[in-house]
Amino acid sequence: MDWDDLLRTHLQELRRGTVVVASLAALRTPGYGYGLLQDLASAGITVDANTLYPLLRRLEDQGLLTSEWDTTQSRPRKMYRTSDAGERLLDALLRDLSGVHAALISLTGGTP
Amino acid sequence: MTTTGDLTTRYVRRAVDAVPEGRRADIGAELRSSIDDMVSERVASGEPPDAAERDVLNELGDPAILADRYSGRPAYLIGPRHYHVWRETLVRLLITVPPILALIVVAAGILDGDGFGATVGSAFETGVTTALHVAVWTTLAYAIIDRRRHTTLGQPWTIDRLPATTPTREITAGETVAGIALAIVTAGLLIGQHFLSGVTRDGERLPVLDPDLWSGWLPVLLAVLVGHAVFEIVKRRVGRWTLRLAIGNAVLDAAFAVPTIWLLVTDRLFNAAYLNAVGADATTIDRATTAVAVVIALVIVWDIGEAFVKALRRR
Repeated sequence: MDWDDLLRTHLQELRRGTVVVASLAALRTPGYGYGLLQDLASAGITVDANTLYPLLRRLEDQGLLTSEWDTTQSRPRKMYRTSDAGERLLDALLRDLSGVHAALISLTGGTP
Repeated sequence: MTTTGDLTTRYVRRAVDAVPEGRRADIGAELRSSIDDMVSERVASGEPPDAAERDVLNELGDPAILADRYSGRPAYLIGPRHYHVWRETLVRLLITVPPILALIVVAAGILDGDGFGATVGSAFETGVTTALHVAVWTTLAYAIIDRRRHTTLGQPWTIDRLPATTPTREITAGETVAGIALAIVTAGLLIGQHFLSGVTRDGERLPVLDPDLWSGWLPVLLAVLVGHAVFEIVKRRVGRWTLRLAIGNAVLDAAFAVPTIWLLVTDRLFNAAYLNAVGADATTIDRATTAVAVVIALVIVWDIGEAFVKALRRR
């Protein structure tokens, strides 16, 4: 495995859970699949379409997102919004994430 | 505005075919609208519509994989929870069941007076066919077990289960499953020879073994096999070979082997009508019964000896 592959594998591992955090945060404002994909990309979080679309379904099944079809536009779209439960989970995840960040700062002697 | 055509329709149908039926329409509509969004974006930045559609679908990738992600199904046959016990069971069954059936075919070949080449050939064929069956059914059974979300075969692991010495001397789940399966296969053969014999006379199937034995020794042998299956469970509970288990094993083995060999050497095991129908003469019958008796005796002596060696080594 060369360096690029190695880096890609580890970055993927590192970022796997952050897509959920970012989606829950972004969908406080209702959004649809492709729109969310673009929003996340412009915020610096890259995720494949074939990962994100099924993920939204899973989060909806878990009650973390609610959804409804918007048929007022030229193209019907399934709009997702973060639910109360999603909000609670996001809060817990963000707190844990900053805990991890603080721990890494302390482990690397203040220069992460 | 819909910018996509037939290709997208086929892609979406393929992807939702594999998701649960109640969700197909909804997931399909959403996927279609997402694809339309992605294609529109590319077309707006100057790409020809046909090329844009192909690129987007290539980006989404294999619809079967996409469907797996939508339905949350595992994309593997046997996961890490059951992989080791599956492998153990498979190996144990593969090194016992096919050779035993091949030996039976050899014995039958000698009885029928077939030539050496033909006997070895059909024994080999039986061995290979049986091995395939063992592999397929064992794997299927474990794949089903693995898909039942909250079942794990055996007890959850704790430090108490760390083997005291080498793990090969412990009773594993695979060994237990294989032992029980062997008892079931043997019982199946004893029952099957009566109803499924390939030799007929006047349109009636001729059992391989003497049908009179059903009111004599056959029920006893079947009961002993049930005992073997129960013994495997007891052995599993104890977790290792002990002297008492080795003695129990010897008693059960003897309970099966002694009547069988006695019936063999006194010419009471096989159905005389069957032997006549396959045209076996007295000499071949004699040679075949001796061969089968010797093989049974060797297997039993080996099994009894192995149990005692393991039990004594553990002390």
